[in-house]
Amino acid sequence: MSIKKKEGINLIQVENLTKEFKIYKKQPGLKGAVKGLFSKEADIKKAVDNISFNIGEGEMVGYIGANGAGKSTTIKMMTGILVPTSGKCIVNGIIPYKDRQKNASQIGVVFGQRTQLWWDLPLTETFSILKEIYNVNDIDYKNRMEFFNEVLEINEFIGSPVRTLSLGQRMRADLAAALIHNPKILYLDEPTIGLDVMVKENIRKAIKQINQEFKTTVILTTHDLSDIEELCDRIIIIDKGKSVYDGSIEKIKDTYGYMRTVQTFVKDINAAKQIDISKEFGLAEEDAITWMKDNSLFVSFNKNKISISEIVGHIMSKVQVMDINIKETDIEEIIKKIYGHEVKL
Amino acid sequence: MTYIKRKLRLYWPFSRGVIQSIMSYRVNFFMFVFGNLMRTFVVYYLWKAVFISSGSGTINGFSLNDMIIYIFMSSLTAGTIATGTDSDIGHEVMDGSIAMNLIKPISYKVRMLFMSFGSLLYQFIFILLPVWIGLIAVRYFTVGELPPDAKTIVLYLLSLMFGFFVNFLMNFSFGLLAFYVTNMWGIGHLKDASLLFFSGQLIPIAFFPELLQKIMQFFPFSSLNYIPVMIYLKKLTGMALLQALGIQILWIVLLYLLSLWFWNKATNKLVILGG
Amino acid sequence: MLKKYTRLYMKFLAQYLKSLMEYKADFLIGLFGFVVVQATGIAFLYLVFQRIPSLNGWSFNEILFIYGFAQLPRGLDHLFTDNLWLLAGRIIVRGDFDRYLLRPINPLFHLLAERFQPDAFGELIVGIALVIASVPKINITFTFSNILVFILVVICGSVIYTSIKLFFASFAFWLKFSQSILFMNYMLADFTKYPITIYSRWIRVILTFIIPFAFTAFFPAGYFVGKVSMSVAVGGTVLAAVISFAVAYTTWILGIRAYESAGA
Repeated sequence: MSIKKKEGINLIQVENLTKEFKIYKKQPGLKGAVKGLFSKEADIKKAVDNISFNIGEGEMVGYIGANGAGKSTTIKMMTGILVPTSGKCIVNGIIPYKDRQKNASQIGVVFGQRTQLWWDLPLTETFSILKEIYNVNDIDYKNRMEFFNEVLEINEFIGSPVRTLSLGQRMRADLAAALIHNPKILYLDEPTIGLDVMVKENIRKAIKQINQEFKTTVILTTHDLSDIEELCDRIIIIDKGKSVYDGSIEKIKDTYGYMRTVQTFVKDINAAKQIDISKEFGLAEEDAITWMKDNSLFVSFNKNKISISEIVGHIMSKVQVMDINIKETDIEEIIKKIYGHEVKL
Repeated sequence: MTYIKRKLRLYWPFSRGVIQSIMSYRVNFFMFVFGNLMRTFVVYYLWKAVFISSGSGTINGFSLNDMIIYIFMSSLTAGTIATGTDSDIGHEVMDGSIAMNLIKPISYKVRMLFMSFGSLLYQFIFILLPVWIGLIAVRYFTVGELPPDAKTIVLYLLSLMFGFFVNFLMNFSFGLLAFYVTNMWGIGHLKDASLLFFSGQLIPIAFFPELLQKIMQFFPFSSLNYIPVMIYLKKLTGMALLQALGIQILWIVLLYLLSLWFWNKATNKLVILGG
Repeated sequence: MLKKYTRLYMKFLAQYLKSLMEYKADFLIGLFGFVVVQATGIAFLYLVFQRIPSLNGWSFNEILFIYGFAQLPRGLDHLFTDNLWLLAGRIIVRGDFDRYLLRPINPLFHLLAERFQPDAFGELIVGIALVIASVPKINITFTFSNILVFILVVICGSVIYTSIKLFFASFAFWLKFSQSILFMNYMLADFTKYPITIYSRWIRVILTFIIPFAFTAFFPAGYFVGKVSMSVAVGGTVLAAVISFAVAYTTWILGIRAYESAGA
């Protein structure tokens, strides 16, 4: 699998996309309710703030951010559910909210939090209604159902109403339902949320296989970074509505690979709490971050600015150290730093 | 005295909670109230037309003025004593949260009663009082009619309180039906329609055929809004008034016993289901 | 296109009927509930007419006819568009409206097709029974063309019902919850079960020109009884249906554009 971003045409173009919501304040309690009779203050919240990116055909892109960062709002604008406040969003030549039905026939959507299926219908009936809705012919339908059973093993619960399915089964069913018409683009919003490790693994495998076989473009939002590391070559990080990183996972690791973290298990916690490496060595704060957790003292440091022996030596001169553990800073920690605005991109 | 104080402190938050939740949805709440008032207006115009068509000043002892007061006061009274007890219990049974509420160290029945007090208080202050004042004003300025004397109003309020308890106990038992029936919405519709008619909100019970009136004596419907409004209209005085209040008290006792019996039966079912 | 939609509707309906068989008792309770609602209304009329020979120039049977006629558009609308109540009450609040926008079919069709409300048979049965019972006792001759007119105005009447519901339910796109507004306005329909000549002027104006419930019962039914002219009854009803649907559908479309989903 290679990154097709450069060679392929831009399937999705997002330019200066912005979405604002008005939020009305509600004061708590009986007094607040009475006060609320007379005044209603509105706050404007920019859920998505001037975001731009292009996505090529066949790409698998991870769209990540903390809760409330604006991931879902972006996806909802790309799928045509929400009308942007300003900016442009073109999906395969279509403006989603203007030509919603046409757009809907070329995309598949899975929202991890909420099923798109009919709660009371047995899965077989759900699929046969979807077949009608998407005008899928009999042969394609049969082939796809076989394929879904192969990769998602849906036949074991296909006769049951959706409301009786377990979360993992439901997610597999939702994924199959989103793919029944072989969409060009698949939007997955938190597809592995709440699932156990085994099911997660299966869902990821299925997504990979679909991407390879059908050249389906996949846009994935998640806060589970292991999803991203396994599936995506490219990530877009969004924080407080703004895009803060767009590039490959490799690049982010290279750029921030100079960070190391050392963990020392100490005996005297109170004494260890006094230690602050950046101050004591006169470094910038982001080059040596010190914090305590349980009976461990952690130091996350820039290996180009300070050596590990200096740090460990300094700690050992202050407190008694029982054990030491050194690790590379992983992607999760880098992203945490980006959220915390500790790292400038 | 301290015992009562302690209980009040324990349960008053439930009343307050209901008031707060109505407050926070007040716009919607009043639109629902106004929607129900619409029906009252339909009935009002219908009766006006009936009196004009009949040509006689009184029908069954009711003058048109009596009837107008009757129609609005019975709808107001019914709206004031209304409680959401049945749907509250229904929801708790459906989503299973009743089991959690049963093991809490407070009485489920008293909790429900205090929640109903909350809605009674709110509805009294924000529906009955303002609409009543409006009604009095309109009647005074259009036909020069004066409000009833203080004694009548006190008796009316007493009877309204009794009506509230009758309604609460009926709703309590009704809500327990959720242990046996799943379509509570359909059955609630059935209940509302029957109440509207048999409690005399459309037409005074005195207009019912004699046989139906006799049958109605075996049901608590007239104890809801009919007796308070008849007291307000001074159609019940002396012995008849005492008798009517006595009937309300009798129904409170009977319905209380019924709800106890039903409560034990229904919660036993819960234990069996849970075990 | 039409064929696809018909086939889809049938599929939804078949599913619905299957589940109905599962919950037979619920269905019967609901049906019985609506029959009782209507029965109390009729009992009320009956008791009132014990005291008077006619109401505002209308005989008991003529009023029964209007009353029965009123149930037909109401019941038809109730049967097919009940999901509008849920749209106003919870579909939008919970953000569940997303899925109607993610399918390549008309979202309104999708919304309505999903729910079928057999409680409405309570209204339809009572309505048909009253019309059949009252017609022989009043001076109505049903010719072939009259029957066609009857069907036309009943359908237009249910379009008016649906439009009024759609209009107020769409407010939920802005307010999140509009069931109370919808309820308040739906209750106005109660006025049209009786001759609107008994009401004060402003109520008649509202029911005719603003929330045109009068065209779902009084005007068309009055035509068959010979008290309303053909042009007002039929022309007015068709016009009212067209205008109210146009207004309601426009509001719906604007509402979708303003839809904010949930959990921004």
